[in-house]
Order: sequence, then C-alpha cells, then structure tokens
Amino acid sequence: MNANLEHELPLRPYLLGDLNSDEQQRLEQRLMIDSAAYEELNCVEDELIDDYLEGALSGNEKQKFENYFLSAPERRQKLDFASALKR
Amino acid sequence: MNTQPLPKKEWNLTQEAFAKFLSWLGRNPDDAGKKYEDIRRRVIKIFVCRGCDCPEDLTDETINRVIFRSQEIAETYVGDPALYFYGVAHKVHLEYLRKKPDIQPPLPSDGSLRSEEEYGCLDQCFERLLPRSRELVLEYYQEEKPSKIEFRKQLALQLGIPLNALRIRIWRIRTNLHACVVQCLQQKAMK
Repeated sequence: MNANLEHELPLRPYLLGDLNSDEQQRLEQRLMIDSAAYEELNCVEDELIDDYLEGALSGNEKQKFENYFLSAPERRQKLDFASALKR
Repeated sequence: MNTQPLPKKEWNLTQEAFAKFLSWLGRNPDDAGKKYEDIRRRVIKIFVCRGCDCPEDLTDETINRVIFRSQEIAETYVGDPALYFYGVAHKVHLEYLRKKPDIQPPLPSDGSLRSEEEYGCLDQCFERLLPRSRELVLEYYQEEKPSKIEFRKQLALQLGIPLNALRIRIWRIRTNLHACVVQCLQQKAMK
C-alpha cells in the first residue's frame, strides 16, 4: 500500500472541483485502475466531510464544498450521517 | 471511440452477447463478475464526484453502451477494459451536462430536524458492530483538530498498522454503519 498517495494525488482539489479538465481526467483514469488510489479517495471524501463539520475548511473550501461537493444526493446523505455520528 | 447512444430498437442483449462481454472482463465468470462490480462501483463514484444527481442511471447507460460495443472490440481490445468504460462514461457525462438544468444543490441541513428514528437506527447499528470495530470508531473520532492527526498516528502505532490501513479500516466500518442505518430507516418506513 502506498502511504504517500494522500500527498501524491490531488484528491481534495478533485473532490472540491478544483482540477482542470485534463487533470481531472488523468486522476479519474488512475482511479479506474488503481485500487489503492480508489481507496484513498474514499478515505479523503469522509475526512473532507468531517473537516467541514468541524469548521476546519477555509472560506473558499467551504463554499466549494457546499456548491460542488454536495451536488450529488449521495454526498448529502453522507454528510447527514457523519453529522449524526459526531453527536 | 464510437459511443453513440445504443440503438435499442435494433439490438437486444442476448445471453450470448452478455457472455461475450463478461469474457472480455475476465477469464472465468467469477473473475468477470468481480471485475464488473468493481468497474461499476468506480464509474458510479466518478459520476458522484462530478456532481451528477443520478449517478447510477448514468452508470447503467454507460454499461449498456459498453456491452454493445464489446461485441466488436472484445477480441482486439488491448489494455484494461476499465479504461474503456471510463471513456464511455466521460461521453455520457458530457451529454448529461448538455441536458441538465442548472440547479443549485440545497444547503446542508443543520441537523436540527433529524428524527429520533434516525438516531435510533444509528444507535442500533452501532451496537451491532463487532466490539473491536465499535471501540476503534469511538477512539478514532474522539479527537478533533488540531490534535487528531497526531492522535490517529499514535492509534495506528498502537495497533501495529500503517496510518493508511487504519484510515481504510475506519472507512469500511463507517460505510457499513451507514448502509445499516439506511436499511434500518427503510424498514421503519415500510411499517
């Protein structure tokens, strides 16, 4: 398992919609075939949600989280669940 | 890459065609089935990450087109089929964007309207976790920033596993917990 994937791959920017089209496609192609990268994405996704709930995102990140990250209904459900888990 | 919409009136999925598709994914049906599920999961994730409100529908459309195309390409295609799925998914997404109305997602709720049922299900599902998993989740989330990263590194050390392995373990427990809560709420809704 590559412990440096968290730093090597631009997963947070990807989740917040901050990558350009080429960067996004390169990352997604990697996610399709690299299991470690895919697992890392799942972890970073949950951690981003936790950071949002803890108020640890910058103003800019928070806006992107609310406007982009939460576009998918599945993500809103995950946020609800994470919020309940934290109580 | 030809990824035109499937001519549904002209082509019906036969058992033979599906078998050919599966044989492209793996040497035996078990391997092919696992590969299929794995690819499907990743394509859904990509549609979710791209902000689509119907990721599973878009994934189904992607898979339908790939099954159709696989009849032609299976024997000559070189490389991981997952990347072919990705190429088709990308086109499906572009078509989706052309049709999709521009609607802002609703602001996240502050949790004040969360029902007792939801908390009840969470408690129930939490109790169903193996004791070790339950303790691990409680320990993992007991610290918040700024000390939580260092705390989690220490926790991983105590467990004798890399931090990444701990993060993945937590993700799996959390995902299973969420699935349990969703199922519990659906069962309550049916009563």
